Amino acid sequence: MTLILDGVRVRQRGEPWLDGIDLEFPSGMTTLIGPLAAGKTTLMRVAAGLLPPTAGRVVVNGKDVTPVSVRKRSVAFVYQQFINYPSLTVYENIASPLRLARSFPKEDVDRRVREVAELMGIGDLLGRRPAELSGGQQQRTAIARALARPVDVLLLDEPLANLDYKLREQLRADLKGMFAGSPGVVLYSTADPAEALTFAAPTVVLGEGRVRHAGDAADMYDRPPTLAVAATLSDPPLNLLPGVVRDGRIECLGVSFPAPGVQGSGRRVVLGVRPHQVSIERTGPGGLEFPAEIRLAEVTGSTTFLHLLLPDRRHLVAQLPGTRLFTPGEPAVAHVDPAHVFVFDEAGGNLLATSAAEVGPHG
Amino acid sequence: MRTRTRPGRRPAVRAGRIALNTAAAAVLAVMIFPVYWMFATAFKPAAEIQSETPSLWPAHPTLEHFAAAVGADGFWTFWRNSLAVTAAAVLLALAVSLLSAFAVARMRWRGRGPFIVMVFAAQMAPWEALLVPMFIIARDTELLDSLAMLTGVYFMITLPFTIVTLRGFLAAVPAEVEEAALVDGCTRLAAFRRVVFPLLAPGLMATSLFGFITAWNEFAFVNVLIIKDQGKRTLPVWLSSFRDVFGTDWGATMAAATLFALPVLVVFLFLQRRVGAGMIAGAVKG
Repeated sequence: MTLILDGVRVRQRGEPWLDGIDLEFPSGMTTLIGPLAAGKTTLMRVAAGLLPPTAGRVVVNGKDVTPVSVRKRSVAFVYQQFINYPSLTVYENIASPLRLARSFPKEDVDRRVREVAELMGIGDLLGRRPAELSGGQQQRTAIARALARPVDVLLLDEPLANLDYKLREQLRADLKGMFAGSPGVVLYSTADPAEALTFAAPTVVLGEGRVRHAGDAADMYDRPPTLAVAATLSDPPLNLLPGVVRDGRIECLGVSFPAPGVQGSGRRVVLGVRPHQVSIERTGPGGLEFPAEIRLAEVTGSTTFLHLLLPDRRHLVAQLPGTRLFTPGEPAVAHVDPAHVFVFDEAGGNLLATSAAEVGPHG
Repeated sequence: MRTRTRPGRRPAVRAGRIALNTAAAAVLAVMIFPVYWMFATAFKPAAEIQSETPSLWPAHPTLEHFAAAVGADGFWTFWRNSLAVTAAAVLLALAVSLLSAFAVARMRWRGRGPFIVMVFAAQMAPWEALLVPMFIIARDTELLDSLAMLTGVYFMITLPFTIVTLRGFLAAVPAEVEEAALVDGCTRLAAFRRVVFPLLAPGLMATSLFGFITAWNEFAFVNVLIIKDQGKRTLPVWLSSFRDVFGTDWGATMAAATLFALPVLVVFLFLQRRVGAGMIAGAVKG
């Protein structure tokens, strides 16, 4: 089973929503990740047949299905909002696609409904209506409905985004592995890097209606090919600092460190530092030290996010382990190990080096 | 809020609640008394009605006035006319407004904005202003003294409200719910019938209730449009002429009025429970 998007473009009200999408999805799960308005939902709607593309083709199993209406296609869709049929019971919700599929034997409906309900952990809620369920149970119902009938293309559009933290963790764990051996194509979109990294499935990074990069999520996390990919896969957000290349070194806010691999004197670069790589204690020799002022400390329990103000009024966030108390206004020193600094070209956003010492592919 | 309404919690809260309840009871009494008086009078024998000292309830209840009202000339004809005109107008308005509301809430088309404005404007116009134009139209199309014309008029005056109300109910159903049905394999019509229509039940109940009350009680148009053929009149007009029919027989008049009010009450009691239940069952969360 394959799903191919071939030169897909979508324009809505004069705005390009998707631009030149060429992707081939194999059987099993693929994660789509991108920030808000990246085009994830649009791509999924095109793949489902809910939105006709302005240009391009959708090919399933070698057959061009672009002109085929959604109801004639073998697809299932799970929405970010918990979409079920409010007037039907959970049982009837799950049975709905089975009853409508001519090929599905009528006598198997009951067995299949109970099977997927059990799988999604809602076996004892079959008699209820969606309005009588919690958000998590509603979304489990929607997913069960999508799983009930075997389909060529299963689309899950940020299914966990509207759930609270605990339910999200739980359902994510349940979903992990569920689609790995799936004979059909499963597309799972998310804005949460943790989901992409947890599922460890082939991952496509979308941004502004284009494919930013495709590959393995963990590889992209370790070695983001562009600033956009790094930003998409970093949560908490990546710290960005300005730098200039000068004689084999990079200067940044009054400090400098050697970067022999980065060429071009006077070239402007952007340094990306993940918050957990910023410390307020000396980590080792050769670390970069930025004098700073403490602005705010957000304590989440296991982690403290310390917001620092650098000399030229740039913000830097440090993710520190444990609960730590700080007084706003007090001075501090931010320590960054140059080995954990991504160096991006300011002009194109391409990665020049994953650490100061390394030669980047485009250097 | 819930904990504060627990009885006997705080004297100030309790006093406030007593005051509110008293006010509610007073308002209810003022509103219900005329209706009650109609009922009570209909059951009182003539002597009790004429008595110098009015009694609050019938001491010797009788059904003789109902017999007189039902037996009066043309009662059943008028009753049938009223029912036919009302039912036809309501059903017609529901069918047309359901389609219009769907077009307005779900589809994008040229002129959609102006159409909505026009529907609202039509709803604003006082019906009385249309009496003369309607009379002229009926006269020129030779539809005076016709129940079809009357049905058309009631359809016209209930349609804008019905469209606006159903549009609101439709807009409250996420388009994704309908889309999900398409993904499951429904046709657009089946998707509407299977998943959207049940959610519109409260809206359909509310609008048909409004249409029923409006058409059933309407007096001005029928008075203007039915002029010669007495057999085409409806209950409100007949009731207004009770003095001619019954002389000063107040008992029979009140019995007739009760019989006139009864269908509206029954329809209301029947539908209002459904409206409430439908709203809970159809609630869309998230």
